[in-house]
Amino acid sequence: MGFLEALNNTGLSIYMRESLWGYPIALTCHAIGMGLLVGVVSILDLRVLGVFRTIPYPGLNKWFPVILVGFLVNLCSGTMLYLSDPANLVKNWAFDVKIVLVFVGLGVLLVMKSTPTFKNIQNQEASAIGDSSARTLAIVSLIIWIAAVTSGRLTGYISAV
Amino acid sequence: MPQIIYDIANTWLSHAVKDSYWIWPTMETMHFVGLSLLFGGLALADLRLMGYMKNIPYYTLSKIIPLAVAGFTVNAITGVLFFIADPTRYYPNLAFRFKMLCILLAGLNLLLYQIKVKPMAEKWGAGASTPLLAKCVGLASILLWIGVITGGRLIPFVE
Repeated sequence: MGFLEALNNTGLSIYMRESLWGYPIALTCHAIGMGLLVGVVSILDLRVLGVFRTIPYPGLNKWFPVILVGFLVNLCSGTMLYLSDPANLVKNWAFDVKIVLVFVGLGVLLVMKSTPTFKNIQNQEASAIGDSSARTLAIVSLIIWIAAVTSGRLTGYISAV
Repeated sequence: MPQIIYDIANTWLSHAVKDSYWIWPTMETMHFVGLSLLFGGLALADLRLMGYMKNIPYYTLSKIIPLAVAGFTVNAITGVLFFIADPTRYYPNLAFRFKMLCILLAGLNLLLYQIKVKPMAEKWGAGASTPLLAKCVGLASILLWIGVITGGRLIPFVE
């Protein structure tokens, strides 16, 4: 546990425990970033599956920067929240599950981005839907993100026990 | 505190939610999933109102709004149940009051959208710019919902 103890003694870690507003502000940013990331990814998944079909398929390309903003906000705020208690959070199974789900979810999104309809997205018809691989990944993605939000929420309950 | 707050705390529903081991965490998870659908969906529509993603016609993005309304409905139901379960905690809480004020203002902003912005939105095809009023309504919507999330998240910290 040498590394985690060293983390625990960094200035940012101490700040996250001792300042009045550091933790609540990071937590608030984490909820806003979650709304953007999970919300936009879910709607993207639904569009790939054929819901909201009036939205032109090539336009979906413009959603990735919005998703990236949500992810970066949560990477920064999440790192700060983690630093508030590095050693205990890794022992929290809900936290470990959540971290794995988040990165698997991002991996699924990147793989989906490399499927044929996305690689060639500017030439897709407005009413196109994802090919079978993209549609499968979209369903997996929806399940993963709901599970990630659930395990994130449980993280708070388990460390409180 | 008004008497009705104590009366709510004494209802069977209040006790049922508060005494259950699983209802609260389950509802909180639903509240977060609802938040994502609401905020993510509105953010896409609002960004287009503000003039981003111009290659997508606005009226096609506005089809997402019913999903955001569904997210809001989930959150209104779970939110009311949170309040019923613990009314003496929420009623005096300043972050909770700020959150309710932001929801009220977001509702008025939506009314302005329905009356003034939506009737002209049909015309905004691919590449079309949006008028200043639409940009303002979109920005106000994003800021007010950020205010709602902020107020909600701060409830435990201002007790």
